Amino acid sequence: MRRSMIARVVGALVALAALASACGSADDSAGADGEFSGTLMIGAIPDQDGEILARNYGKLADYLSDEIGMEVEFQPVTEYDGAVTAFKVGALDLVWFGGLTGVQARLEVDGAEAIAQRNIDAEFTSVFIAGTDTGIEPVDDIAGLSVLEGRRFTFGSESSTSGRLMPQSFLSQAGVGLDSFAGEPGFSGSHDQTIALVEAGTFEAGVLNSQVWEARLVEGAFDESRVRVIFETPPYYDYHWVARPEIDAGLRQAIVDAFTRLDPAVPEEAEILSFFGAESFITTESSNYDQIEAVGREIGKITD
Amino acid sequence: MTIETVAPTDTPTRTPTPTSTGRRRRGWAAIIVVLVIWSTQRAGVNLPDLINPRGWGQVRSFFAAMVRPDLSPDFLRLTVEETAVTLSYALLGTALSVAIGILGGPLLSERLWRPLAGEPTTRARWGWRLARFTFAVPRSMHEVVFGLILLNILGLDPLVAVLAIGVPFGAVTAKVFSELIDEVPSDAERAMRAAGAGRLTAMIFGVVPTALGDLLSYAFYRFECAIRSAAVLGIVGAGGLGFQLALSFQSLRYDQMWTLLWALIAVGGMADWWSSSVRRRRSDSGPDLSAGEGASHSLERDPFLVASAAGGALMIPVAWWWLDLSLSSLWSPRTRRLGAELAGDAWPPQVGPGGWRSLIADAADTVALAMLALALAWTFASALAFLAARRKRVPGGPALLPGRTLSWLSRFVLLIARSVPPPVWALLAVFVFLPGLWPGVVALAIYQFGVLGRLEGEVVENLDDRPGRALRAAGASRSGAIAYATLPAVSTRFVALGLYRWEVTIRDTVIVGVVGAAGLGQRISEQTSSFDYQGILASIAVLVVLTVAADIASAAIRRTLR
Repeated sequence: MRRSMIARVVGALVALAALASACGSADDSAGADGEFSGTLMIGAIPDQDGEILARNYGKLADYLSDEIGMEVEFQPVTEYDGAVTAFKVGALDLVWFGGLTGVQARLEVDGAEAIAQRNIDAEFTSVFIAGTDTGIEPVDDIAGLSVLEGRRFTFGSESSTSGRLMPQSFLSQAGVGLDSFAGEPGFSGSHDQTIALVEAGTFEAGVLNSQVWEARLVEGAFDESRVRVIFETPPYYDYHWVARPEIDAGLRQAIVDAFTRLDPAVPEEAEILSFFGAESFITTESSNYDQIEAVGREIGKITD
Repeated sequence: MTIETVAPTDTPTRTPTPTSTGRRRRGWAAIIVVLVIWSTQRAGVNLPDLINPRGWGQVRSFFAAMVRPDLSPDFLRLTVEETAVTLSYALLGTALSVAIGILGGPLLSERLWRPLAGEPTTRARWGWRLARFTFAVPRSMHEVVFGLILLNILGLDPLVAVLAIGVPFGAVTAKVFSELIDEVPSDAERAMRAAGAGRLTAMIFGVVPTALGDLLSYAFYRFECAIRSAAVLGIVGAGGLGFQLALSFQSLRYDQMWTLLWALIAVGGMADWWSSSVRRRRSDSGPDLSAGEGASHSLERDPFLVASAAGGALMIPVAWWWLDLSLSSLWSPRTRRLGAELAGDAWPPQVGPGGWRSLIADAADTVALAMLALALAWTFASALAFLAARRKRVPGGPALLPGRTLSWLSRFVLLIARSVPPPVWALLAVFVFLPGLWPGVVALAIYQFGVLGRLEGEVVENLDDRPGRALRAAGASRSGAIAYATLPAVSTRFVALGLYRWEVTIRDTVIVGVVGAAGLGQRISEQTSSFDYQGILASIAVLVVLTVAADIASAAIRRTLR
């Protein structure tokens, strides 16, 4: 939204001209109606620290721009569903999605493809956490999650893969449905808030992305005597970059190459990798997310 | 933020006798008491099941950050830029709403549909009803709901926020304007029509200019509301201060939140001041938003008002430029295609999993949530209104009202209560209340308390306090004078204001649909994340029905107060 002054003035004049002639033509730099041209708009769901989100994606935009030789702009979005909608309408061309949101986005846009992900995304996990004074003890297997029956429990964001979708699936394997908790389950809105709400005791237990949990543990962001992990889930595929069909095979390959080339030895590139919490990026494909799609349908997050 | 007036034609044809009015008033009072008791029952009253004392730690850290906001240059620059975005949304949204109001007001006015003499024809009566219904639907939908729909059609475009504010506000403004038009003395119009002018011509030249002054002063009030709306829209993703607020909250950065909140409080406070200065100058009797009486003054040539209106108008192109707004997306083929797709996806509405039973339960939760929030907000606001009233505005005020510091402090508390967006209050409330209806109740209550307290404070400031002064002069104590002179004079007006906020509170439940059971708001939030458009449409329809029902009931009750 913040562009240079000149761009703004030009934009305002163009808008006025369009208004005056009352028949401006659509300005779809990357709409579904034509070939890809102009600026590559990249976006992300705000899964982590929102504060540094914009700055770091700006670095990524600069890096990509240099590598693929076209203008790249980063557009932040606060909500998971907002990112999917923006992708659907063509306002974003390349988006860093979670497992479920990536599937939802691909189902909304024919020909969109999953193209790249971090090395850790092929084996992602969630952790179930509980307040230490709740009497909920760590469990050994999925079936053990039945200890959460009758407890106050919170997920993360409604369409989070690691904070909701896969956990709900594992809970259901343990015979714990959404109506098995004390009252309705909460949707805290973010992984950080899940930790804070369980630490505060509003909820007795919750579930979140294990990567965020590890990071907060290292930072000492919460009181370890109050909240602990009771179970880590089996691995599943999570975050990935999804590209709209306007990004043709050549450009797609250039983008994938740019990601997989990210080198920890180069300081700027190391910064990007560390922001993503990754050692490297790898290629991925849509079929890796068949399991996520099946679970999404099972629990009603994918309806069509 | 809906402040409306009762349509004159809604009054029953039979003039009610004083006794029947009294009986009806008692009947309504009983219904409200029953509703409040039922709501309390539904939300639960057993404290140990409701309160989570350990959560105070988080709330304390939040308020501790109040005095140490993040003042790093980078973040300050960001805050200033985002403030400009929020202000631009609010300004352009208000401008649009005034435009819609000026076009729609005459259409909704009874006057347009009524012949020069005699009763309106059946066709005219239905035309008027249809026009009113057309405007009633957008009025009962929250800006966030509009934002949600528009995002699907226009994508990430600043136009989404401008339209999301402008359209529902425009519908409200049109209604208010229509009532102003109906209250203008009809001499000029009648003369013009008698001389052969057409109905519309007579309206445009004989009536509209007279009512326009009041409409403009009302526009300043809408601007004040629009800032709060723009902040909430930002939280759901439209950019501006609210957007940054959401990002900072997700990572629990309270210091950053307070930088942004102080910015919101500052612009909110300035807009409030501007709006009330304009409205106070419009009429000696004060800004009587609650009843629409005291309107219909001709446009005075007050330099402050003219400068305010001109300043506001001049800022429009600046805001336009800052947002880099373009209207081209409105008529692009993509917009048409996406609009058609959305309509196809959403029709027909479907109740979805859980069936009617769960939809009705959520609707009941919504009603209970709004009822409790409003009851709490009204009680506290009514108490604080006396402290918040500026005594220099009240003739003989020092005799009745408390000291300046207390008054200033009260107004500051009210300003904070309404400037911090309800979703933020909700996320805080979740720490100290256990999951259920109460976090939402408390969040909405705090916000409505801020809005109501200010409006009620203005009622007190504009009070005719001669009876009170007479009592004081006769030796009554200050509390005695308040109890026997001031309270009876303001209570009806307070009740009327509370009733006006009823439908607004129901509409607002949609934005506190966080964490745990919170009725239709939570339901819509879950449906949104599943892209279940048919379900969303059904939920919105129920919310609209509830809002309209509250509007009708509130109008009926207010009639008994007259």
